[in-house]
Amino acid sequence: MSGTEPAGHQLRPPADVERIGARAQRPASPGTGRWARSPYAVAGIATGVLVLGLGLLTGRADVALLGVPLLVGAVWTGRPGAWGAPPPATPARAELAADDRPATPGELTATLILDPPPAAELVLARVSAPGHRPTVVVLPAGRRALDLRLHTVRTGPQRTFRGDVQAIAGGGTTVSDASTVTAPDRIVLPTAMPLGRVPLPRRLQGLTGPHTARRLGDGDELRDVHPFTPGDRLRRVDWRTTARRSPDLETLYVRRTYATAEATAVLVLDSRDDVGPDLRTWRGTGTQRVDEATSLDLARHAAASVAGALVAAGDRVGLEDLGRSRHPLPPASGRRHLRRVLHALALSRAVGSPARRLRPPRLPADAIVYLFTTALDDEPLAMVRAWHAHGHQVVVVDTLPDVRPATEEHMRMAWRVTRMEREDRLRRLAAEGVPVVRWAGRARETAPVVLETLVRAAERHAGAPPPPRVSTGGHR
Amino acid sequence: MTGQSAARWRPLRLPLRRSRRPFPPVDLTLGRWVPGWLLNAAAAVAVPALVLLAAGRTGLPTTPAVLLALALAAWAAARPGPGPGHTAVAAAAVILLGSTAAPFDPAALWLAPLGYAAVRLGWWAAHVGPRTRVELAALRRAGARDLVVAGTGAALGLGAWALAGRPVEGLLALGVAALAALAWFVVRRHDGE
Repeated sequence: MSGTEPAGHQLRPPADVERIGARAQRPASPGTGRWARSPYAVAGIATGVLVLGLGLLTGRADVALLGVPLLVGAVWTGRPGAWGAPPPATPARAELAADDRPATPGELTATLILDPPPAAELVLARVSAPGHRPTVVVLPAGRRALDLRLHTVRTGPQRTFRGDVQAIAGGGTTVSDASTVTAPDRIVLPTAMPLGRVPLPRRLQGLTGPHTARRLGDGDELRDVHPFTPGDRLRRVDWRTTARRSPDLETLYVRRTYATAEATAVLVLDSRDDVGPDLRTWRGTGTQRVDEATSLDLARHAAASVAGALVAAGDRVGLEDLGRSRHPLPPASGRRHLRRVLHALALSRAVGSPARRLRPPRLPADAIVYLFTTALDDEPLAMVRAWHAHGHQVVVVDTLPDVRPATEEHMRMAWRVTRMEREDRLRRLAAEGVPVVRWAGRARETAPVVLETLVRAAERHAGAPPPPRVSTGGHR
Repeated sequence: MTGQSAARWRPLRLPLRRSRRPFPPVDLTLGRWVPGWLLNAAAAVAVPALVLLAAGRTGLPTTPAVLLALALAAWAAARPGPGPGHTAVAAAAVILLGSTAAPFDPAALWLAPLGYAAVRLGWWAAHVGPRTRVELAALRRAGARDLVVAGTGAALGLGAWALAGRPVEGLLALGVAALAALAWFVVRRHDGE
């Protein structure tokens, strides 16, 4: 989960995986179970008869002998362990049982259970997964469980294994139809990178929390010493001051403190784009690699890291998904809420073509906004301006991965234009006082430092730091 | 290309090479296994070897035999399937007709198992790709059956060698009857299916 990885580490493969749906296995195509004579048996019989006939006609036993093994091999259906076995008739069964938990981070596991009919000699199994090269194996027939593993740095809903199984009778004389099984989809929760301090809003609204507010209340920070008034707690009476200022105890003096408060942050995830480092996959064609994080994976990772730091400090975190028009996750605190945030992050993805928002999402008053976006269009820029106009602090986290140069001329030109427009947007944001934190590639390693710099700048603007309006991630 | 220009293009080439990386394979636990390309290579060797060894028993000129063997090897390597192995067996049988050791060439005792091995290796080559993992236990299981088949052929061959050159009345009729029985056996089991 969050907060276990040293800062500046590479994006760790996802650690937590959950199964979608209740079914442990989902046969996609169970197959008819039909067995058919293979072309080898037909060719063996034809060639054997031809050669045997040639030998008989010419009176050459040595020539006829060449056809004998072909005929015996094509006609005999026995196999070691079942020498007199009849031709198989029942289908080859297979199941794919998914494990709920990965053995190691970034690893999805499942078990392929093979159950061929008794007369089968061999089993041909092909195991595939999206973004992976299929693995084909030939095994001796028999009930058997194969442990499958795949490695991925991708998060969110993931399709996993598909198995195609074909049984083969003795000598390859007959083969069964292939039966197909698929493992259930999995949700891979994003991991979090431990962050130091992250920026918080200038004004704190909560009634209690880890931060010192500007108003009076229960807290540790001394505000002043004041004559006792109705409503003051007796344990707040400062007897030493009272004895000095009012020896006859006509007036009691109490120590008044600043109240504590919590900060509210809203994570806004721009899930409308999910692009990887390969430009050729941006149009939805081609398979995205599983060993390279996409922009949405980076956004989930960054949001989980920020949420982890805020929740560890006792602050409230909410989540808004720009790719879906549904109710946002309202701000709350606590580890259970962090779990909810991680689930919501994992499920964040664009559904269809998200409609253009007329208004930016409504936010709680005085909440700080963390916007995780690729900045590939102008919509996030408009939202940031609107939030800024409403007095919200905004931190933009740039989640576009390091794009590899394209070989095709038209793609290189298109990317050049897109990149210039994007850089222009980010420059304008920075000029308007909105900090932009890059989260891809090597920049991710320095992201905690950049966030710390923002915190210190906020402290300098606020003057002396008696109320430290920042949150600590609990890892430093 | 000068060193300076090579250095200028190096940062571009590395990401391009990276983009062409193959996808990672699905990993699974297996016993000891051999890669499929070994079986592909063995099939491509066994098929021409059968033809060349059969030709070596006759006075056939070398060039046609080598050309035929090369053609069959190329066929087996490019399109592994039932064709190359069975064609090689039929070709070897025809070539063996010209054997100088008539009426029974003892080389048939090892040519017959070699022909069967070529056919079976062709089966393996057609069913496994170069990256297919073939568990040794699967090879052992299939190999045991193949040994029994080849042994049966060898036993029949020894019997035929013992009888070769001696007139055995009704042997031809026995052979024809065996062929007819075989045809009936096959047709009975697979009529209309």
